[in-house]
Amino acid sequence: MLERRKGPLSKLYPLTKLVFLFCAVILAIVFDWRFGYLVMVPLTLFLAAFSGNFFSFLKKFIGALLLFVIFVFLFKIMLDKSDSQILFQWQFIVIRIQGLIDGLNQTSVLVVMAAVVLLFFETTEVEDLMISLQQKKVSHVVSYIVLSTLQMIPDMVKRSKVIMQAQQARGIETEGNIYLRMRAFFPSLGPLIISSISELEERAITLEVRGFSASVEKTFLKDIQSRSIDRILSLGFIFLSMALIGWRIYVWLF
Amino acid sequence: MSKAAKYSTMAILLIPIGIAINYVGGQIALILKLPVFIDVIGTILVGALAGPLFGAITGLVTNLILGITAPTWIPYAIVNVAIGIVAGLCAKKGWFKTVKGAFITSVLIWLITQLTANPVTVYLFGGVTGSGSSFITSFLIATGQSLWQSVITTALITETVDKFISVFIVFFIIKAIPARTLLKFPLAKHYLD
Amino acid sequence: MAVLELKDVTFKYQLAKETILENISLSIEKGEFVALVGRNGVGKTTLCSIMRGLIPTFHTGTMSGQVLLNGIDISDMSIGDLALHIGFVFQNPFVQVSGVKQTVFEEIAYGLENLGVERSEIIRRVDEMLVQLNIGHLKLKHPMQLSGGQSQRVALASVLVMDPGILIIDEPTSQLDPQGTEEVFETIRLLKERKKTIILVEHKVDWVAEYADRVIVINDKHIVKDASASEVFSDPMLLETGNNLPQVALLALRLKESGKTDIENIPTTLDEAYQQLKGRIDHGSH
Repeated sequence: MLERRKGPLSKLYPLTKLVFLFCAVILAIVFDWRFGYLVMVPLTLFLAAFSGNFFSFLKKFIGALLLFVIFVFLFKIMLDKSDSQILFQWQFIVIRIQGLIDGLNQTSVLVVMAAVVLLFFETTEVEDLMISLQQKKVSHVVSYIVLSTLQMIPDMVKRSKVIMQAQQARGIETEGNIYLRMRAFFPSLGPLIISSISELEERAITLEVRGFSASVEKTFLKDIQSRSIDRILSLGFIFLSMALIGWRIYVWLF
Repeated sequence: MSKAAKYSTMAILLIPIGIAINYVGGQIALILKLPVFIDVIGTILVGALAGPLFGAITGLVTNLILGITAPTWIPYAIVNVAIGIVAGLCAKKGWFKTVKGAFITSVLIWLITQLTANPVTVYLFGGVTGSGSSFITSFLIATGQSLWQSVITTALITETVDKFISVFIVFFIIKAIPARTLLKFPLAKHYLD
Repeated sequence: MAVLELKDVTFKYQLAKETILENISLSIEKGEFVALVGRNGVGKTTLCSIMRGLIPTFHTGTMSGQVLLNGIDISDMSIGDLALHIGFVFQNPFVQVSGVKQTVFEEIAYGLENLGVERSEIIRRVDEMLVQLNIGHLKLKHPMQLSGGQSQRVALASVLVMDPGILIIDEPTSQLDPQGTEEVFETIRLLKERKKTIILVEHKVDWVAEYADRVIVINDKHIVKDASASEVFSDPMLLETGNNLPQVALLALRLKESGKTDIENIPTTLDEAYQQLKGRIDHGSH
């Protein structure tokens, strides 16, 4: 699950990219669909290409949003009671322009959020993100929880498959009618949970023995630094966002 | 040596396990082709053993980590957090020890799910949940119901049974944990006499 | 001054009806290699937990008596801070991983990151440890993809790199196959060569007799013998406490009992046995 990231964007300090992420989402909330669809989507696609991750990014982007976007448009069209211009009509299906605009506006924030989050993780290693957070005084416990989970999930998935096979060998049915399948759930999950919890004690001892709770400031084997380009970009994003929001407020007031 | 430190390492370690259980629970339900999406067992378990704060963290981080590959999960973190808090509070009242208590907990968790998830679905997602339940919602809208009505009805159908199942699974699991291990969790005293 | 001292320690687990250890007093000097033997369930692991400060805070119960580390009462120190001074490796090889690192190198470095050691120093110490314990070839492997023996060696390395004053090793080979056992004992031999202060709990007395300077025998809640390894392992009384004797010692004792030969000193290690036999062969037979 943790592959090494490549490309120029992966060299940026993680928090810089995080600033970009938050600014983009906030601007998407403030502005309407045109910001999201006409600015951010092309921008993130371009950045993904620039970073050498285009197809991987595109695949995840479409995968995450396609169903969702289709349904939103579907609902908006079905609920559109306006008398705006009709774009398409066939039997009882009526698509008016208002419905489409509603759909675009409703989905804009989420599309932007999905785009920047996916781009962020295409160009950033979770480990680096955790180190940069710790450098800004976020507790090492947060880092531990996230990184430990990322290793534990694939491990548990593997173990659950083994347990399910063992249970099948014992005669627990995993196919058939719904009651049979429901009854297979607990014997599949139960042993997994119990064994994980029993191991907890020794894992806790191991962590303590490695100095997890030692009251010393932690250091990092990996060298992650914020450079001048990071400071310039971060400040740039923030000022640009504030300027745009300020302009929007101005337009709204007058 | 403070008690807080001892408790916290065991409780801290419970969180990644809770998150992984949330994930695996969902996977197993998928493999078994169950119509319910059971993905909060871990949150409830951590809340029940370590309290509302740890339950809430489990819920939050679950959705954030899921969000890495599927960002549409991120806003629903508030639901998972709420479930963790409620589970923790109910555990503190000793409700995970008896069947009656577990039933009350199930109802409360079901209730808080409806209260937190539906607004997110309507306001942020325009009524779409991104799972198969959206077919039900679209059917309801097509029959003339409002967006709110459709979303609430859909949630009632799809998000009720799994909450009861989840709470009772946690109930049975806690009964199966040996006393010497339970002793090391913050809420131990509610389960041991 | 003794590195570790226990003064009249008595302990009962919270959920237990009876005490498990009573009036335990012992003292360990720097550089000593002490083995702890006793039958299963007698309280050896409990004693390890007490020495590591895990009792009575992590494993709750009632404890009286004192544990002193270099003269300081460890109940004044937190479990986390004790990691600087006491290393601990135990039975289950696969659970002693941090869970957050993807290579053995980073895994070994983890303890040093937690102790706030400076980066170049971390790299230096980890490299040194890889060489010292002959695990350089495991450097880039994932910590969860090692064999039992390899895992235990990495666990030992990860703890040793933190340079603790004392190392407690609790039945490291119980869950290993013969090859793993040999690998681990080879590592322990390296530790002994470096004159580390070690407390080892082990059932495989043949191995223990080779390495331990001193043996403490626990039976019926107390220390029943605390003497040099050759003294403890040549005494048939040990069998009554539910423990084994090294095979060479058993053999020598049987021979002595049968009256067929006169043996004065019961050998406890292969080396001693060899020397004695050689002596007899060189002098001709009687």
